[in-house]
Amino acid sequence: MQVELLLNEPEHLRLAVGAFAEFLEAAGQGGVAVLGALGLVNERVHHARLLAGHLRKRRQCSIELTNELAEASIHIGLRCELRFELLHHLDGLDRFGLMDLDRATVGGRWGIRGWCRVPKEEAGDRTAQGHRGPYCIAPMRSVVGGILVLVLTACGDGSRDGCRGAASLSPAITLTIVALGAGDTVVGRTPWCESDAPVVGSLLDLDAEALVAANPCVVVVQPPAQGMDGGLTEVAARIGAQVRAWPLATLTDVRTMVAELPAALDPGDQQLAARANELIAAMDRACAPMAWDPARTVLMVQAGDGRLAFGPSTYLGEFLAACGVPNALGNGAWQTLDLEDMVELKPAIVLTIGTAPSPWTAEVAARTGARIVAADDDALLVPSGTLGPSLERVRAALTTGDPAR
Amino acid sequence: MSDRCHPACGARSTTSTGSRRSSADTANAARSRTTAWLVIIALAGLAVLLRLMLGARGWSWPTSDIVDLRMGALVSAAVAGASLGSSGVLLQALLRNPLASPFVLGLSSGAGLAVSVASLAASWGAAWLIADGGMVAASLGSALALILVVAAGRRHGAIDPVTLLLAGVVVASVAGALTILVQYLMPPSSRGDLMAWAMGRIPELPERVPLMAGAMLLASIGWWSVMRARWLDAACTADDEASSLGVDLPVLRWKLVVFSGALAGSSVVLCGPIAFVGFVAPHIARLLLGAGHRGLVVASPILGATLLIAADALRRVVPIPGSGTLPVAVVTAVLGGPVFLWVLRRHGGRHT
Amino acid sequence: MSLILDSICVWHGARAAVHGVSVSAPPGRIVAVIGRNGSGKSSLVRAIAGVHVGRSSGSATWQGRELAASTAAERARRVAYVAQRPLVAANFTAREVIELAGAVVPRSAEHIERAVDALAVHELLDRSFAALSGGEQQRVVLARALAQHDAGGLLILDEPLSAMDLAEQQRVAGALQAVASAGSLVLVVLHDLALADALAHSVWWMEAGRLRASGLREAVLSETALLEGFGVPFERVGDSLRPIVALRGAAAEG
Repeated sequence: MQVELLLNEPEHLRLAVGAFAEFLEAAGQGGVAVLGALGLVNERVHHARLLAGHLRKRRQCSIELTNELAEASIHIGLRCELRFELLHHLDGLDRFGLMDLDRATVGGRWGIRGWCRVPKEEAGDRTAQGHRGPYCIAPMRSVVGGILVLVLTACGDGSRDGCRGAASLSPAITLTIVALGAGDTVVGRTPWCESDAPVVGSLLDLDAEALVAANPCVVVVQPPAQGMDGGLTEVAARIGAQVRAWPLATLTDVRTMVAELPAALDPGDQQLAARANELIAAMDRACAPMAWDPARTVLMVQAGDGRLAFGPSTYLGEFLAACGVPNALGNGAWQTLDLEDMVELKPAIVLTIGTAPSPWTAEVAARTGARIVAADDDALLVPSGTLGPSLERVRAALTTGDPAR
Repeated sequence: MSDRCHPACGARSTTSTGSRRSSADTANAARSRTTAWLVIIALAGLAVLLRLMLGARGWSWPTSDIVDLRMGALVSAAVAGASLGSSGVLLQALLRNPLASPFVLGLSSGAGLAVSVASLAASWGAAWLIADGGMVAASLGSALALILVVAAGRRHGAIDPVTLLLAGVVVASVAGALTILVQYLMPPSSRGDLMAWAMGRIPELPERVPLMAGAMLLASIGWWSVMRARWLDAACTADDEASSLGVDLPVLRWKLVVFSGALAGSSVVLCGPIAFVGFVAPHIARLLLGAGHRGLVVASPILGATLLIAADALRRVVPIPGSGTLPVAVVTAVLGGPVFLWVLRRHGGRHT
Repeated sequence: MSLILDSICVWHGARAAVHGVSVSAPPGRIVAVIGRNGSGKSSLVRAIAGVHVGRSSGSATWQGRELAASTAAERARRVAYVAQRPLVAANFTAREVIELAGAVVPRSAEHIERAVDALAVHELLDRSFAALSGGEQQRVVLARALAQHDAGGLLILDEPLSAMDLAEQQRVAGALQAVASAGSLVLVVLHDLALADALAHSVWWMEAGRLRASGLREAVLSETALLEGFGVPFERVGDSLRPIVALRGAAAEG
């Protein structure tokens, strides 16, 4: 069990240490306490030692003290882990609860953001159900005073000491993690991910310091064509994080990523795996062969004025091929096309991907008689695991001629 | 003030004839000049032919459904390239520096920043800002950059070449840095257009208004430079000598900076930032015709147009594995970079 | 119809390089402007030629018309000027440099040929200006000034002979004398007092921005005045002025 305590005052720390040790004893198991205090480093070290000694006396645990991660936290390695961050907050704290500690023992993944308030009755109930231990630590209230429980998360056994969650250097993978229902395990992201986690860089531009500070258990990336950032490998090795890389050029790549992501995040979580299977199934449904006149070719172009077309070896090209719809581009991946090229390709349908306005469509339609189908869904531009529903809409639009959204 | 600069010119025969100017010499000079003009015209014709006949599927006369597209690209490239060539020769005369090019005025960076900001705003919902392909934004951006550079490049109310050059470099770097910032803020899905703009694109169906405006600007400034070519020659001497030769330097410099800025700006509006054409065209013209501006002001725009047309034709046939055609600015940069280095080496060698 | 200067003042920034010079010179003369370094010789002639950038005051009238009142092109018809260090920032041939005389003011081919003849620069014409020696460049630029110049005009030369060898100096001196005798006024800044004495009809002697003396050469360039003004004894041998300089002993003494 691992606990991370962020405490401001040595006095609070000492009390928290006592309470935690008491809890551990009551819960009948070992634990890891990650102590991060905002006070003096020496004080922290001193009190961490105090805790270590305390734990050692009461439990048969091996305890290690490290202080290498930018003095941000002190790790004491024990068997399983629990995250428990306390930040100081001063008013309205009438009850201080350590909620749901029991779920840590069953390997569940959960997170509670914000305040934890446990009514006394409920705490009592839990005790009555057979959980021994001080789920609501009354004595701490008066002394610890304004300490807010911000995040309380737990991971299953086998995780690296001190690390937490996953850092994603790919917007597509972040989207997939969120779709898997594990959005709150994201502890680092790119500037273009929608998440509250801190930015730790992007595909080509790693913010090593931010990554170290985020201290993820796993870093998930989409390596660019030229290979993975050497700096990332080095930084990950230094903080002991695992690096998982999936190229996302094709739909097969995306499927592989979705299938392997749950194991990378949490091997024990069957829910994640089940959700991943659902995402893959949605993609498979969208990619089923459909009745189509092979003479009618489709040209897929990214919406906007860049005229970047999706060749057969892109993920959308693969989708088209799987549906049995001929791509107007015979080969290649992404291609920038001139107006002249578009006219000469003589597509039956021009599919614009994304919401940006495409000023050239009228011209191409007028010269080739092609039908313009606007798939105005920016999710299609990101090769994430959530493509399934978007692709299904494109598929419907191709047959009916309605806009994809 | 007087500043010593590198000679703004390519090679010339330095053999001494050791005799008075004879009619034979004059005839030789005239013949080589005629040859040079024939070469220039032949090159231009070749480039036009290449652009008209080179398609995605090899050589062919354009079919009726695409002939207007090829002509459109040809005209756009011709106007933009000629503007760049003309702008380059005027700017090199203004700055008395062979390494000057239209973009030292920070115009393309200013336009790039404006287009980026407009794209960012468009990605937040104001799509109309960029609906014209960034043309309005590019015009505003390059005009603002020019005003800023000129305002900063003055000393005692007159254009000072060295200060102007430094102001241009500063404006260009700041605008470049801000552009990177804006691009960083943009969602990845909206960056494609910006990249496409920044790499230059010859419109196949150019918008009438900017094309006509660019052509008229080019024609009027071209006419002015032909009429004032000898002034440009005189302006190659030190400030005091030039003004003793009868050149009103302050007025000439104002005109040069505004004209070259307007030309470069109009090419940016038409085709995006295209490097090296404005720099290389005057140098090729000097190689062929010598340093006199009477030839240069005519040959540079022709060669600029030729270069851009040829680059636009070549990018269509240079294969890049797996993905379409090269951006035109990449072709001009790849062709122009070595020329730039070569000029640098030549002048570096002579003056050290 | 002389050149009349009235209280000419010239500033370089806040520093006055020339304060209140009033003097005149008739056409048909060569006037040498002499003085020690920094005495304001160049500033004075640059202000007359209208090429000084910055503040100046007073008036310079040539042939009854004020020079400052005219445009650059008008002035170029009346005044030709040769700078101390010629600069040509383009790879022009010597011929092209000389032809710059007609860049703004129309000049006939004969005019240019005459200037080429006067300074004997025929053999330099097709060579690159940048490749010429310092003396050759000065001759070419002088030829340009002569080509720009009309008989009866004002020719202003700032150290035009400094890089020339003796033979070149002699030829140029002859050319300048011919120009003066054709009715022009030649204003020439010279370091070399012996040369000034040999070339000029009259002398303007500048000292610390003021005119120390002016007048006919024999009167101004007296041995006593030169010793006082330059700290160097001179002697007249026949018609020529010679400094008596003992450079060998200078180091030991000083």
